[in-house]
Amino acid sequence: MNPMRTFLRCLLQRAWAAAAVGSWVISAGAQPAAPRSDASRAAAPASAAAAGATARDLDSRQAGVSSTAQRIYEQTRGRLVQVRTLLRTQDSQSSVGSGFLVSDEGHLITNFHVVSDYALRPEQHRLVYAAADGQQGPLELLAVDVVHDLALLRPASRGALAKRGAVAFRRGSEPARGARVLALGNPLDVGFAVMEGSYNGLAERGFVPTLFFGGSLSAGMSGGPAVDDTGRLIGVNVAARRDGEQVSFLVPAAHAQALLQRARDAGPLAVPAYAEVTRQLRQHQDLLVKSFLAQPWRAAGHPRWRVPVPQETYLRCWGSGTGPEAPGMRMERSDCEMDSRLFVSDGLLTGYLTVRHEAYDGGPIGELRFAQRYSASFENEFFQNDNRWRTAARCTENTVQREGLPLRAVMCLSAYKRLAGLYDLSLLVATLDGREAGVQGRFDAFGVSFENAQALARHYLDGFAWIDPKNASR
Amino acid sequence: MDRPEERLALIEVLGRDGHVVRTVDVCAWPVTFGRDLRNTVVLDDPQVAGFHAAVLPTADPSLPAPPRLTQAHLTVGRTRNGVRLGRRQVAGGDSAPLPTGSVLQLGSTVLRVRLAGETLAPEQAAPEPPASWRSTLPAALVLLAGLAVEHWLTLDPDADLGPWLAFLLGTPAALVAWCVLWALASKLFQQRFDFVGHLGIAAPRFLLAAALGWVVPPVAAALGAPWLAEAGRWAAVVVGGWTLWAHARHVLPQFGGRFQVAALVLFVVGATVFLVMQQRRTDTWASQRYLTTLPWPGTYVGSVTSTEGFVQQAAALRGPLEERVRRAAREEAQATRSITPAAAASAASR
Repeated sequence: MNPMRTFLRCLLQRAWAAAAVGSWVISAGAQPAAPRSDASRAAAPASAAAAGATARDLDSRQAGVSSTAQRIYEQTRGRLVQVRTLLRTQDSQSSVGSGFLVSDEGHLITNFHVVSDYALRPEQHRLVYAAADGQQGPLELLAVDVVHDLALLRPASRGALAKRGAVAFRRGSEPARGARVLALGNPLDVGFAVMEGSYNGLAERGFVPTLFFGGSLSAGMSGGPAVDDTGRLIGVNVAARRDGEQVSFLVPAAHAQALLQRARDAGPLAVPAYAEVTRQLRQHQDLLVKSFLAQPWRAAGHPRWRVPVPQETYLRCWGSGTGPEAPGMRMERSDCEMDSRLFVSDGLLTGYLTVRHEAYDGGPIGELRFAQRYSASFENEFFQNDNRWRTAARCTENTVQREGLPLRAVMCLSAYKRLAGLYDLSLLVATLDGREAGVQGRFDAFGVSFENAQALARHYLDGFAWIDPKNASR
Repeated sequence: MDRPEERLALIEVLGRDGHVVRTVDVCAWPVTFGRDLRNTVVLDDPQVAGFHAAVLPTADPSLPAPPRLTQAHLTVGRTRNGVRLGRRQVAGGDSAPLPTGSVLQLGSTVLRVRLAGETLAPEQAAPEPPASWRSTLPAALVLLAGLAVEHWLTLDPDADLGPWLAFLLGTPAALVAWCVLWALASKLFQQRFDFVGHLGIAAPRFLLAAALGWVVPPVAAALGAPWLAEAGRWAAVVVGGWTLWAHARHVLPQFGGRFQVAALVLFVVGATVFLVMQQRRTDTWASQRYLTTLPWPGTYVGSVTSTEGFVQQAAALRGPLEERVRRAAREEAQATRSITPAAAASAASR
């Protein structure tokens, strides 16, 4: 099988010390379809008179748009801060993002990924804030919510940011689709700014709910507020897709509110937060695995074997293959991956699943060549080597009989060094009954408990079977 | 020499590869060495003094010379460089006993002194006769045929000549180039360009290494035996080392024993370094984590289990993984303890 494509979530631009809003980059081969161009031609004005009227309408709309943004910015400016993570031994910053006041006592909300360096290595880092009016000071970390990428902070000097007011949480119904949303923050460390966009509801197929914001979020705006046109919090800036335009994401405000309620009276976190992060990740993976196991596999459409393909509830599947006219061995491939991944630190995204398979038809090349290439594909797999986050993968293998269908199975697990009790599972399966055809599948689960890894392995293997035993080789 | 019975000793001047390039009969004592023309053995070597050294039958010149010497005496004259006698350096003005067969080095000239009373070493077996084309060609042809089949497997049925060109030209050329390089080494040290001999060494061994790669993986897959596949890979490495040793011994047969020791040491050191680095990276001693060759349908005779059996089999991974995590925690704690005092000192100095 070809090496698995990797999703890179680039959250913080270390290169020039500016925090980035989280972004997903999908490598070539999985691009969504480009928007059609005929819609824009249809929207062009039909006559000069109509064009003049349309221009006047645009002017008035732009005046309304910009005045709202001005008002919201002025209203919220005093409650915005830049959150900076500095090295203790020097004044250089390792990350920078945005944050905002959520209480009169001075509690601040930002993203977990903005403060993860400090949360996990407080002995090497310190947190400071810089308000829009120039006030600065040290910060304390009170609580984290890794699953929703949130963190609760407070100035170390009590009362430093008090009496500035708070960004109010929006109550009642969610905004209508297309409603104006204003995202605030400090993009690229250039200065505090407001970005206009639109509300588009929940992002589809997200296991962890996020809001789809039709606007631009730049690096540095992580952790800033996204408010409606009355200045009430809808969500917290968290991520953007770099393979599209104005496709950004917000953490729903309810989670920020829950974090504030849970931890507003908590003391500062002074030790590395690995234990708490681990606890939250374990809780998350329990829910994820339980939900995933409850879903039946979909049919892959193969005439000979039942191959497990997940429901597209929170995974998206992409397919590719060689056509019947292509020379050589024919292959069809399916890649299913979750979009949402949990950020723990640079170099560590976890809490997600991927499922893929390749179906081979070696009829055009004969048994000998098929055997050679089928094995070569089985060999061409990567498993985790030892690094600072994970142990090297350890593997076990055997031939498994699934209702008479022989499968070669390799199960590899690597343990997280600092997140006790969490593992990455990789399960490689190949059918063994075909002389000129076969299917190889791979299932990966990142950040699961050992018991859940076993349950997922069982679930995946049980997804293989003959469709028509009469046609199968024995 | 017309009257060998008068020969008291023989001085052999040795070449770079240890062969005798010139001999000097000794009919009278003492034998002197130096650049001056009045010496018995004149050495045209700028690192040799005019009267550099002399070999005498006894340490006391007043004593008569024994009829058949087994040991003579070396006296070094006024020289800044002295004489190297075996591993020992004899300085100017000193003297030393000189057993028969001793090797001396004066400047850059190496001499061996053979005395009339020496006991001859037994006759050695003659080296193997040079290989012939008839004996070496079959192995080479079988090797090339096997590699051709291997290459054919990687091509689609309708492949034209293009993908074959690189193989047809490159593979024989690589084999020839390998043998030519070793033949050049033979030319250098043995004054003969023994291409056929080296082909006779390379072809069967390369064939053996290739055969291991063709046969062992499918057998290991059929048995479900990853250890067998690993053994096959190491066996191919051993065959490679054996090939290098055989070539080197063919070039310099007199050092065959030393090459054997060197090859063994290199193999052990190389294997150890590889295994240690492999283990650090993958936490396993095997070069591959799993059996990568799949068995042919109907040939598998290894162990079989159920889904539940396989899932339970994986439980054995937990203990080693947890131990590895504990070890990582200890290593990090140790590293933190060693860094913290340095960091504290650095912070205090600011």
